[in-house]
Amino acid sequence: MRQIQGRLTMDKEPAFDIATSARTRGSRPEGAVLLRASGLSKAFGSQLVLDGVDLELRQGEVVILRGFNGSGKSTLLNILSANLEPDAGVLELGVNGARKIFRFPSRWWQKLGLNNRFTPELIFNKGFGRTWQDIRLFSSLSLRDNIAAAIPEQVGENPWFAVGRFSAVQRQESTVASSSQEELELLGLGEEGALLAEKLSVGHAKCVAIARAVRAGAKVICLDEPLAGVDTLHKKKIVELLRVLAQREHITLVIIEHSWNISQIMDLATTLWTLEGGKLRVEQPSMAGLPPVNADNESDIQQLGRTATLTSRRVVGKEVATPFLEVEDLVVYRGRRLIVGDYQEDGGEIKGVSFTLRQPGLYHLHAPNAWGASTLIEAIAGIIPVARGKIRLNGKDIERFSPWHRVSAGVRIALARANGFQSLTVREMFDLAQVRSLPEGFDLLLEKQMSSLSGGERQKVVLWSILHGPAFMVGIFDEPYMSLDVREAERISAELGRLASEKAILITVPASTCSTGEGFYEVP
Amino acid sequence: MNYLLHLTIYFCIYAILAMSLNVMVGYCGRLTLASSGYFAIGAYSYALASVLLGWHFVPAILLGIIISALASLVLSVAAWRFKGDVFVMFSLAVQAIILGVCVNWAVGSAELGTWANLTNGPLGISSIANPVHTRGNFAILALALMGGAAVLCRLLLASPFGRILLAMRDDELALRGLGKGVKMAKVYAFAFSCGLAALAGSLYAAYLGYVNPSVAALDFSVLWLCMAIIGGMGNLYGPFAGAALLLLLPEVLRFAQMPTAVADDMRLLLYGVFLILMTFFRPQGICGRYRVD
Amino acid sequence: MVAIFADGFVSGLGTALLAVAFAVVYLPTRVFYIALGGIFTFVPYVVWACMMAGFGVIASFGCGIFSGIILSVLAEAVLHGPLEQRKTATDGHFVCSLGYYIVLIQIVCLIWGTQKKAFRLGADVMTEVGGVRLSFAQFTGAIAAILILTGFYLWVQHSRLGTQFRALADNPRELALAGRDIRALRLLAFAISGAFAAASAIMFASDLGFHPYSGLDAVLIALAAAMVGARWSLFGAVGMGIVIGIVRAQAGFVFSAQWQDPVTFLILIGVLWLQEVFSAKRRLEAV
Repeated sequence: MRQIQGRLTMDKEPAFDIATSARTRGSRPEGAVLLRASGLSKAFGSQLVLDGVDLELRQGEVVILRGFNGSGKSTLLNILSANLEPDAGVLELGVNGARKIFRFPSRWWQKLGLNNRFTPELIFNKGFGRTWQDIRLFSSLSLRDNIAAAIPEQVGENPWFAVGRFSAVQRQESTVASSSQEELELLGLGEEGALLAEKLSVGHAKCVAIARAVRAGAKVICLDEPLAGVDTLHKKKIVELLRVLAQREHITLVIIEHSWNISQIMDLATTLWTLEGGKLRVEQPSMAGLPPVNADNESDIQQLGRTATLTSRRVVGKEVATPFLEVEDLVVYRGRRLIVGDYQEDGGEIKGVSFTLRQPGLYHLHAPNAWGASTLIEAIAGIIPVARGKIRLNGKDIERFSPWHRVSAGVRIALARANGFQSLTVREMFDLAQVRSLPEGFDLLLEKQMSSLSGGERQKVVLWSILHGPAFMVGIFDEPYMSLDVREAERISAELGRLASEKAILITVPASTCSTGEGFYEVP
Repeated sequence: MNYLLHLTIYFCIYAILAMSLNVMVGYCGRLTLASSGYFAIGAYSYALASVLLGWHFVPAILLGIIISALASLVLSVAAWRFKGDVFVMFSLAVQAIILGVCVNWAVGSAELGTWANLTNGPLGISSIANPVHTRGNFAILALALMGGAAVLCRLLLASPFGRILLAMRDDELALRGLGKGVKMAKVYAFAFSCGLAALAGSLYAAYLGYVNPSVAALDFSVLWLCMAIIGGMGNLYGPFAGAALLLLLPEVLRFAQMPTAVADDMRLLLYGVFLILMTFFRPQGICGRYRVD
Repeated sequence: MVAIFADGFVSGLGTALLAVAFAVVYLPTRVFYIALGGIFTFVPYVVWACMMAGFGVIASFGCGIFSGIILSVLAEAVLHGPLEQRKTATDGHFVCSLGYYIVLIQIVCLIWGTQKKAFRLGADVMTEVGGVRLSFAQFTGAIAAILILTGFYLWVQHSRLGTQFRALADNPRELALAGRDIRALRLLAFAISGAFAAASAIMFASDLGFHPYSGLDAVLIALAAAMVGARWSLFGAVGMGIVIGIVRAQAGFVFSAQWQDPVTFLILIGVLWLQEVFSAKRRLEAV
């Protein structure tokens, strides 16, 4: 495909240009600096997500942005596309010659919305476009209209011209329509021009979203997980599209992706940005440094697809455990996006997630961010519906049970970053949870309101109210150690290990933690 | 025959109102309870222009439309920041303020037209000139105005401007991320919507020859919103279905030998029931495209 | 001056009851419960019908409160609960609530007509409290409102069920995960809402009389106050309701009775706008 005046046109053979690839791979392009950020910081509540990030983006680069804390990557992307203001830092944009500097924190009148220049529209007019994790096509518009809406400088968007210069608008409209139709044909969607966007499959929708950003005239595109939730065939299409954009159209790309997809675009990349601990590291692209699978001779390891594993520890001295929670071929969607489940290589039916938790037993689900661990847990909890598959508790199907029925059937679940109830005191939290005995270390906190506690303290309260609450059979804890300090994490880890000698305990662990090798994840 | 003409005129007024709500609710995605306020602005502007200034029909109507369009800025600025329940609150506030102005801008015995008395309070303004002298001619005038409004709607809503509105309604942030500004689109759309409401108000004032503050009542906003939702929004046909239903339902009830007072209450009762049923079974209304759920 | 303040305070208590009625549903469910206007209109007619049928005052009031509860529970059981199961957006809930409001008002019109009515004939007995003259209806209404609001506060703060209720208003999802039946708790929320709306309606009707169209304006001011106040807490709605009552009375004094509503709304949306602007910067995109 070639871009002529903002339009993509397809050559006969869109072959992979090895020469260009060899030139650009392994060496950072020395193009003009398009974007420079220094000291970007952002905190959500007490959680510091970005801590003084410095970066520089040059023309022609293909950056892969990866990181172990999911919200850091998307936070950075949201800042670079002006969907979020950082707490501090400086952002310099220099596309199209004109430099623009944004300093943060912004002035009080800008916070009130007066003369606030840091807006998505302005950033786009500087040449920076983006695509979204949840795609965000205009659902009630047809595909053709989705692309047409993006085309800049349309006379008819001004209502005065729409009425007063009807014939000029009509002429431009027919050009716009045929141009949009051509784009769709290049994407293999020529027949679907009139199809409503909400009916399109995820893979196709992502292609259309990328084409939309290109058609709108972006010179830099930040792509938020372009390959997530997409079947193999469309992954190839999207990767090819990205290759064309980078190597033929010379569009600078910043791509957030996850470990199991990164390999597919690593050969495109010129630069690797890694977000860790709130800081950004700039490196040459390589597959090193990605989280390994945690192997342990003493544990059984079950592969769950897309590099996630379920590790179980046999409990010494206990009889072979009985299956207690069985998850069979589970497929879960959020909207139209497949979150839990895998597309097959051969394009066959989606493969659901299956595993069994036995009692007693301690299980760790190691999954990279955005694998869908939290969604899986919410589906087991009954908060979101299941598209396909079975969840059995002690032999009984529970997919139709309400969340509170599942609790009374013996499942207790602690979601990630659970905040409890802000307006209750800690004592009331424990009362509500019907805690049998007050856990240690809460004497000073009992009469405090949850809203006045730090994130870690709230997490502590929520976890201990489950651990000391009514007896349960299966406990599922989503990233329980997330906001805790080391001492507290050790205490909870020990308690979970103790409980695992009687019950089935599942803990999800983000991929980063297995590489740190910190002691408290080893249960004695 | 006279009665048929009367129905035709009211159909035109309702259809214009439905088109107005179609733009704000169906295309901009903002539920509003302020339509009676802008209707009243049109009605009162026409009345004052005609009674005090002696203006003819067209300039008087244009005055109402311009004032209403300027007054719509309050709502469009609110829409820059708010939507959903909070925007409904704003629209209520605007309606309450306009009603307050209509009821209260009349001090004691001050003469109408002075700054002390611009609305004549609860007494209202009467002897408003009718531009044509027969009901038949007025019906033709009303049909022409409705036709003109419909053509204008078609031109705007089927144009790239309409496409921007729909995209904005579906996903404003994504649209802004493509470099399209949405603030001016909202200003224009709301000005058009409120201008249409004012046109309906002027037509009403010209037909009846009399206006009083009851035209700005909240109950009318509620009724017209029901009409628009039940008829359907988000396309060009829904408004006509809504207007037809609002007009014909009482006729059907009257045909069923129901006394007029009861028929009015029954009509509203049925509207309430339709609204409830619609949210469950047909959120896009009779023939609309925009689903309220 | 004091008299106006007292007048405002008393009507503020009535508004506070209505504001709580709204907040108690809005906070856990995000339903814009405009149908409260219908319940607010319906209840005095039930009371009046009972009085005409020979029931005593207390029994009639009791029937009124009971009818408010039933009407509100119906709204959740038949309308909002099922819509919630279908994951309907808030606009859908609003439209449905609007439909229910219209149905209730029209039933009132069909059965009882549109004439203004009152619970008693002739003027009320005036009492003097601390140098301020109030009507008997205002005085007893204020006492009842204070008792109800205090009782509600004590229940919500100190009882088991009250704690669950506060948790529901805070985070219904988390409460479901803690094993509580939130469907039953939602029904309780709507029942409490209906009871409070009924109490408020009886209070206003005793003082000012009632007719089918008295509902919406009063309710909408209370709703606006609740929306503004509930952003802080459940009892923020109470505080805001009382403040609004006082502000309205002052506005009526400073400007004129007819400017009360516009001025009140102006102040409310001013506060609403400031709240939005100074609230913690939310993420523009939910990731």
